[in-house]
Amino acid sequence: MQTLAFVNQKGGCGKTTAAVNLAGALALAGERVLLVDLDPQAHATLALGHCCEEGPGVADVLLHGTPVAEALLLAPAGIALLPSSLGLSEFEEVADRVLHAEGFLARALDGLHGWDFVLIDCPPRADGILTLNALRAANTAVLVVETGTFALQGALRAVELFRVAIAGGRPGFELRVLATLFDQELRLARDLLTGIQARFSDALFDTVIHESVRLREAAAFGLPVQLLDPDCRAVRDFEALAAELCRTDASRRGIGSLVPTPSLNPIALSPPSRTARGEEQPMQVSTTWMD
Amino acid sequence: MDGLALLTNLHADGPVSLRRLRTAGVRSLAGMLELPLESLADVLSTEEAAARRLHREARVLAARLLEVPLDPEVVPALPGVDEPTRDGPQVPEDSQEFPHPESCSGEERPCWAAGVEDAAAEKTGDAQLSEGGPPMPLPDYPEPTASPVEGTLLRPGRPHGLGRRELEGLVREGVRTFRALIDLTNLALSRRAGIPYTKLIEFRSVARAELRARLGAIRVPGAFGGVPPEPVSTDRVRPSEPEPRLRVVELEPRPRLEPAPARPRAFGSYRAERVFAGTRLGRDASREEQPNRMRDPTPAPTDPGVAGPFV
Repeated sequence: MQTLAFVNQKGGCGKTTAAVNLAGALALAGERVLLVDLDPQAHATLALGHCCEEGPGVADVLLHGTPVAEALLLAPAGIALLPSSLGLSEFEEVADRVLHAEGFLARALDGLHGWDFVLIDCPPRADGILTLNALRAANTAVLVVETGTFALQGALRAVELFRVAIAGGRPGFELRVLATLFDQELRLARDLLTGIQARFSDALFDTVIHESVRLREAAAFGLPVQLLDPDCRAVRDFEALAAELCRTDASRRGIGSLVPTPSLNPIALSPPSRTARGEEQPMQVSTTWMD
Repeated sequence: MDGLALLTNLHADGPVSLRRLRTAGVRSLAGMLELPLESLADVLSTEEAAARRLHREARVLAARLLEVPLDPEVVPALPGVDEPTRDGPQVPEDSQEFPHPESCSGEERPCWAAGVEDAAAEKTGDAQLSEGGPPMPLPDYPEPTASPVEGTLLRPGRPHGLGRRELEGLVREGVRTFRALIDLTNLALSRRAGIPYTKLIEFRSVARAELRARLGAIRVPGAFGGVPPEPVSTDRVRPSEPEPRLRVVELEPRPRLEPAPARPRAFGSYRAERVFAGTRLGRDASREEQPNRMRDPTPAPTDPGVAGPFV
């Protein structure tokens, strides 16, 4: 089971759009997909046509220990949705008084079986307790970076926050970067994409999500874009991203694939280790897959 | 994302083109540059003109990412570096960018990659000159006083894409060499020379790549800074061109602003008195009028019901 957390400190960069539509692409490709909406704004829940105030949700799973299976909803395209609600913000207040609150989601998802992909839509706060829960539960953190002004600066800031966030926690997770809202006609966007590629190199997905009106319309209709307009550019982008993820997952599991797997060497972040005297060593950046 | 994926995302169809290239066995930008144009067009299922444009963009991107190392031994000797010449390649008068394919006798070829191309590659006017083509005169630019390598003169098409109009703008501002272009590129130069800043940065990137092949790492100043320009020999400066001078402007010290005297609030106390239908919010209407201390600084009698504005 591959668990991906879509994170970025910056709001409006396309985290929810990427999570929802990638879930749609994977589901339509035959994968078993679970989408966890960890944002108190519940945009991913609304983007799949569900109301955020009815029935149990992720807030009940985290606060009251409700089993995940009891809170799941069936969304369009066969996506299983663990919806969010406004009560999720209460968890952020409670977490200050609870030990190891960052591991609640990981413990809740540990008992799940039968899912190929679990996608977690995080709130726009890289150092909050909800994002920490997502990073603890995920084996891949997808840093969503829009190709706009201050994109690279925000991405580097988010990476620094991840380092602080995982200090002293689980061994580490794999960091990948996804460029979104790319307008090929804009010179600035092309230059920014070149700069992002120069900085993150192999951690950057080969697929870039282009800006598309259909993505905005699909969210308004409560559908993945694959169901709204199957022939649009955004559908091809997410299909390519899904294929890239499946190749990555297959190579990780040692399964052969029909398409040659490109040489990927993503960045894996490890928490800083301590010497015998208790001094903190700098963060080690390894370039091997996390098993 | 490697250079090939970046190229297809920037200048092609993205994942579709990338998949076609990888299916054809192309794994990197260098591998794509080795493909003949006809084969590239077949692989991408496009016209040869589109394949040529993609090939050109691949060269620029490869130089920018330094995936294709520039072999200085195969780059033709630049005029004015080892042996100063008066007549250089001439740019057709009607072309804004150098070189236009139809204006040259041969096909177009970036000058800095002349040595790594095959016989079917595109050729610039400089390459035509080195192969015995007709010389094309240029305005009489002054000879650089820096070392032959660092003082590489700017020419139309060198760095790649530099047009005649842009070259004139740079020369007018005293930027005549690659080194000067690298050191002096900033927003002010862009405005004075009439060249868009993004384009100027692109020229600087290609100039850096070429000089890096010769000299190694080159530090580039930021957009708002720069190192002083190379000294220009005064006896070679054309009389019509004023010498560039730096004016030291002393800014007058800003006058210290004194804080404005405190004025009494228009409505008296901090808690504004509000009257709704003749009653006062938060206060008992039957109570006597409480003195307003802001208007009347006379200390009021002790009354627990009177609250100051900042209590």
